[in-house]
Amino acid sequence: MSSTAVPSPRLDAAFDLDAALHRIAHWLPAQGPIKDFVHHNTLHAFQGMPFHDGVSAAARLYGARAAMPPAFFLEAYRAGRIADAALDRALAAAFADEGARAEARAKLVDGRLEEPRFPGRARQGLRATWTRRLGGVALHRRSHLQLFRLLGGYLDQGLSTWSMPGADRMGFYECVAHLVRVSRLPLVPFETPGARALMALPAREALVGALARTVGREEGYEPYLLETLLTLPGWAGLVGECERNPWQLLTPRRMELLDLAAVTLVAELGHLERELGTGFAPLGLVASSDEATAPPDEPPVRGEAERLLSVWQEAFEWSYYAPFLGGVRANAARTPLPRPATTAWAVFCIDDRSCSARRHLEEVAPGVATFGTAGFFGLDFFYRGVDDAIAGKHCPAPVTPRHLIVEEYDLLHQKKAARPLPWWRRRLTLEQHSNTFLRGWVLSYALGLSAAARLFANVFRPSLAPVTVPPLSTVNHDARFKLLRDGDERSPEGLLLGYSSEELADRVASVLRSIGADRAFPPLVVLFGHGASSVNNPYFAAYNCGACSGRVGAPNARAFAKAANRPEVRAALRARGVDIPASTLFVGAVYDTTRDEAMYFDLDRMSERFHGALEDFRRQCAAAAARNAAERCRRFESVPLPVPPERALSEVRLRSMSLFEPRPEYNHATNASCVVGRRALTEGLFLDRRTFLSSYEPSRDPGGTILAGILAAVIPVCAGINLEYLFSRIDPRVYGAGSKLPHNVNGLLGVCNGVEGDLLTGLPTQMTEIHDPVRLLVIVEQSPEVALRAAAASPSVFEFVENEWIRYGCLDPASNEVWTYRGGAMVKVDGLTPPAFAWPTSLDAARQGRDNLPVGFVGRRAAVPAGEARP
Amino acid sequence: MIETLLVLGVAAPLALALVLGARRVESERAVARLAQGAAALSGASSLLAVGLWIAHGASPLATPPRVLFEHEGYRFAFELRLDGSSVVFLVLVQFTTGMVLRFSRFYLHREPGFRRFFAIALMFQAAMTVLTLAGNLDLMFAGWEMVGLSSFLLIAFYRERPSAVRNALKTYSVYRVADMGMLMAACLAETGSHRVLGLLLLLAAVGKSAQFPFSFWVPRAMEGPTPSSALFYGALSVHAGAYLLLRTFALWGDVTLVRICIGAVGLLTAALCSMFARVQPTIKAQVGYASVTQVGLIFVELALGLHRLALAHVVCNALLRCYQLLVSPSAVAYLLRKQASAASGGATELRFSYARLLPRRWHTALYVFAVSEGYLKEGLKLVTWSPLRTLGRLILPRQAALFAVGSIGALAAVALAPRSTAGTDRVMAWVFIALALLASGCALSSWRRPAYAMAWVSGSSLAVAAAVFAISPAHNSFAGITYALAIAILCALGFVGTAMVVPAGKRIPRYAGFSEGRPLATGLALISTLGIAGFPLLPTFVGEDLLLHDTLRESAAASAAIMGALALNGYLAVRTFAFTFLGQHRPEEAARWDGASGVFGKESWFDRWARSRVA
Repeated sequence: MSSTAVPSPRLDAAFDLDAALHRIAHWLPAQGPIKDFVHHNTLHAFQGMPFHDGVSAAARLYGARAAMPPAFFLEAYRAGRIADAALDRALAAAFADEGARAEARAKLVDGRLEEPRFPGRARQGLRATWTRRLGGVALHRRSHLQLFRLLGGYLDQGLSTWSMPGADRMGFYECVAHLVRVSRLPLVPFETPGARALMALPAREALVGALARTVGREEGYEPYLLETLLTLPGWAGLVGECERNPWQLLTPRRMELLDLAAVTLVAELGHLERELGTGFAPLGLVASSDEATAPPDEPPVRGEAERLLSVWQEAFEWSYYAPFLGGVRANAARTPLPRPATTAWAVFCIDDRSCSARRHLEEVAPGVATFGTAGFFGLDFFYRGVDDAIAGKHCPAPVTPRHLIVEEYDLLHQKKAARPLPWWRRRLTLEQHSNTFLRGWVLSYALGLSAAARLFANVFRPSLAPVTVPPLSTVNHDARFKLLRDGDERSPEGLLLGYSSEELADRVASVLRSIGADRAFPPLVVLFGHGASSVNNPYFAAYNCGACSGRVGAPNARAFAKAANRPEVRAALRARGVDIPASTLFVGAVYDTTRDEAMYFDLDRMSERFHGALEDFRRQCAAAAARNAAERCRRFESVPLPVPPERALSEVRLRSMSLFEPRPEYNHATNASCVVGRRALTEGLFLDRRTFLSSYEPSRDPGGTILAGILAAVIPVCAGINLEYLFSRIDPRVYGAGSKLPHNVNGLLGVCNGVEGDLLTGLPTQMTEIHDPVRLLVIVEQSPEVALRAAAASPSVFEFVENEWIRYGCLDPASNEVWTYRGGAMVKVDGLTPPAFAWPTSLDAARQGRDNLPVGFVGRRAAVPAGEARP
Repeated sequence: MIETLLVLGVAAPLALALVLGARRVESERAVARLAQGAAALSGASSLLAVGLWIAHGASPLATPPRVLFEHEGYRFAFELRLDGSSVVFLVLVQFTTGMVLRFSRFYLHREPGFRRFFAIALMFQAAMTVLTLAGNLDLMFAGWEMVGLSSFLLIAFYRERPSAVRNALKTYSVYRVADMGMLMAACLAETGSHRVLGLLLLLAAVGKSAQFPFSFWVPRAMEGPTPSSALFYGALSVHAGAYLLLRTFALWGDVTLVRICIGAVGLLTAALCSMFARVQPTIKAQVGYASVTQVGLIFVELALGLHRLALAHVVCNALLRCYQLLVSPSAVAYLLRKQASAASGGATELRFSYARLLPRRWHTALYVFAVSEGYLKEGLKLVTWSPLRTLGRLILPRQAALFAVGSIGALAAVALAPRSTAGTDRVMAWVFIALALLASGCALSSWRRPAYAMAWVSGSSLAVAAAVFAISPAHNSFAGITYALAIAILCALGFVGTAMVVPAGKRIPRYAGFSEGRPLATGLALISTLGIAGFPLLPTFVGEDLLLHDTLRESAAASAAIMGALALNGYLAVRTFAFTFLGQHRPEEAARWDGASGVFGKESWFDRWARSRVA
């Protein structure tokens, strides 16, 4: 090793590394391993700013679009999807002056608007300017492949056959340093003298040393570091997430952003030395004029084009909001038709996909009343199924549960659990044995022809056989879980093993009360958790229940039903004023949103007198599911229309089993609104699967405390979903994951493009392509004062509302007037008109082509004669 | 009858590939139907031919050669040979392409570039069928080249992503090396010694099948849509080299040295790549290396003369890897689930298998070696790319002056040399070859000005033609004229196409993405690029072949040098195309480079002059 000029690190200097890393971590995407895909606001870091400012600031930081391109809005305008009235309204809000308004309008409508482009800080910041001066040494291009391989090798959750030596004992930096130090072969690019010398130091010193050597000026350290990490946002974000929540990793690793930063900077130093020799002058010292280095905390100065695009965006949104609000208001005003005796209640998740499932169920079975509540059913727990290695979180992302539910086989099925899968039931084609020298030799002979047969079979007749594996944390029929805790049992991690009956009663009562279903119980109450089954889809978690952190809601539904059926819990409930008669049975179930089928749990344990009612319900539900499939099919371009329910059902089931189907379903695409209120507001209204529906009884909640509780669960989940879709749609390359087709699974942690791509964040275009980018409109059924108070009860919820990352409004049940939140207060909305469309059944509505449909009356309550009105 | 069917098997996909490539068929359904129809027709006729062949006793069958082009002892004949190995490979080719095309029909639904994908995939199908059935090396080379180009086009399918384009170029440069071996072997097929032929064929096979030392390109090539990766790097194109060796066994089987070389290369590859596969954290890289490992073993089997085993291995490995890549997105769910159920209550420890036999301190070295992919890429870069780059740095500022001096020298040689003696002709030829290489060097270093680069490439190609004029007897200059004419037209097209988007003399950033919204210019440049690279349907393909054939009789060394220049020019044309038209177009980036000073330092007087002309 030569004694070249590696400056001794100065830790006592003014530069505060920890604080800098903390600030930098804030700007990195917060996306965990893909198995726990949880929808969240992509631009969470900017939520402290008003929406349009935040999006603009983010666009400047990441080099993304700040809005859909002008051509998109122009086309929507020309196709009538942006109403003139909505455009006028948006212009009026943006420009006080009449002349300016007319001018802006002309600019928008003539198509003279130039799309603003932002290269992003990684491409046009200090770092880019400095490295460009070296003659185009694209540092990240050189260092990324090796860096990603090391990162992937270190964090790998079971994909590669050889793990990095020492990964189980050491942190990432330490592990790489160990490789550099101990290995007798050079690890490019750490073999240069400067890099090697730094790798001999601890991470912190190495990082500061590398910064000193590369940048040279202390005021440049933090922006340089930020820009460096922004060249690999996917990995850097994942590392930050692993640092915050290490439990997300199945194979535990000690990973910190500091490690990543140190390895990256030293690697780049190595490349600089390889390229320029060891004697190069620090980049920051040669600089003459610098690009902006201001942290992205302040709202940027937005250009005219950006402001006009915001106007387009507002107009586009209002074009959806106005008919929606008009529809809900008109529907609420109608006197309800007399309904037959209630035979059952069906409680669904608030998910927008339940919106149509509930509607169809009501159409098929008028005796069934439906409710919506967040799909974890108030039971927040970690859950470990019999087939799971570690427990997964089954509640909304911001909540940290204190309870653990463990599923266990009873004595009868115990044997099955103890043994690993026999080889003939394993999918050797997906395991690594076939990749090695000798075993690969034998296996390639052995598996080749069967692989051909499987491919042939799946291409021509998809079936569940070839690669389907049951999703993680599902419920097994022949296993039981312990729900009631004896005393104060705790797991080794300190989690409570189950609930006490009092705790259960609290949760059951609060859920039933919040949805207004705490009296006059029917014989049957069915709770539907939901999940999705698909094959060949790394994004499987994003298809599951958002309120269960990307898992299947089945355990929650099952647990809730179990709890509500327990005599001791019912007794405790009675003490809380919820009297469930013995003639009422709760049934847990799971609804598969891809295959449109329902599965019911614990039927073998129920008393025989419920059989008849349950059989009826199951029949009705199956019929509704088929009609729901038919409604969904209109979105799939590859399904010819019209499609009768039976064929639709086989279509959607085929999709869920086809290896070649990148769109098993469209999940939350087109989601746009949320109604928190009685079902009467939305029953008989065709909302086109675009609305999250949460049940709420305003008359029982004059103070708004129940509402505040609902909003605390509903708004983060729904806004997270909505904003993730919104941003992935606006810029599929930066915020989204681009096309799904070339994706390559990396370390079971995420996907990337090719082998040298960064981990991809956000959603692939196949999930968002039909999504209309509008912000979520949340309407609660309450007076404006109570609604505002309930939203303001929690600061984290109110941030969404206040900064307009969602639009918030209310329908006052007393006056039937609509109010929306604008600029700090609730403002009454005038000029809403009732819907112009009506269809006799949802199926008729669904026959109207593939695009988004307008809000209209549907079903028994359709006032307009059937078939007259067509959009 | 059999021949007609086989020809139909080639012609149907090829014709449709051309139609889809040239015509804007907007409807996805129409594209899919047409493509699948052509693929099915090709598959059905091939299978029918195979059936008839079996019915006729399954004895090796060669169709009578149909001479497509003949000149002075050079003959390009269309002849097919059907025997056991080609039938098996044909069925494999038709089955996998058929399956993958059907798979892609749904998988690529709504993808921008749907039509492009099917056009290229059909071209690949036709190319593979030709390669499988070809009865002579010339014809086989036609398929071989088309496989390479379709590979390039599909790796760069997502053309707005620089890494995809970069890796496509990387792959293509290795393919170019393989092409050199193959082309040379084709020229020498009748006259050359078996030892030389064997080694040339090995060079071709090694490049195409990603054997040592070229293995590194396979994982990097996994940039296109998953089905294309499965078809090319899991299944077919990576086995083409092995198939070539299988097919040409009669040419090298009797030379022990060649067999030893093939076996050694295969064994080394298998040993190395199985190690590389173990440390890859991404599934596609893992499967890619695993596939190459098995191809290495196939080479060993071939060297040992175990034909049947090798053929079975080719089929099984191709099918397995193809399937593995197609289901690779399932890995997350499956492996997580497996870990969970196998351990029932804790994640599995990751193994460090046979390395446990080694002393502990070797573990890290082994891991570092595997993670660095055996330094293959570094090493190759050191011996090939770095000298070229140094040369480029030397040339760039003085390219015009150097070329002027060279041209004057060449003219002087032409003017002063007496016409009669063969010796002076040879000197003249070498002058032109040097000139051609110099021009290629200039093209190499002037990629920032794509129009110039195209001009240099055409200069180089014309110098090659001149060298052929000089070397072969005057009455035999037909080849030179054909080639020179074709290349001149194509280069002019390329220059125009490039200059339409970037005026001559202006600079571009790397992967400037000028194809965005410029279909005409892109089309012109693409045709020109394909022509310069020797795409089999264009006249330059035969021209190249003919040139080499002509010169080979006079001087092997000159012929080799000419071939080097041709291969380099083909690569340079593709590279210029990629740098200019592929990638993401960023106006602000383009504006920054336009007129800025380049990578290698100061601009020359010629640059300034050119810029003043443009301004």
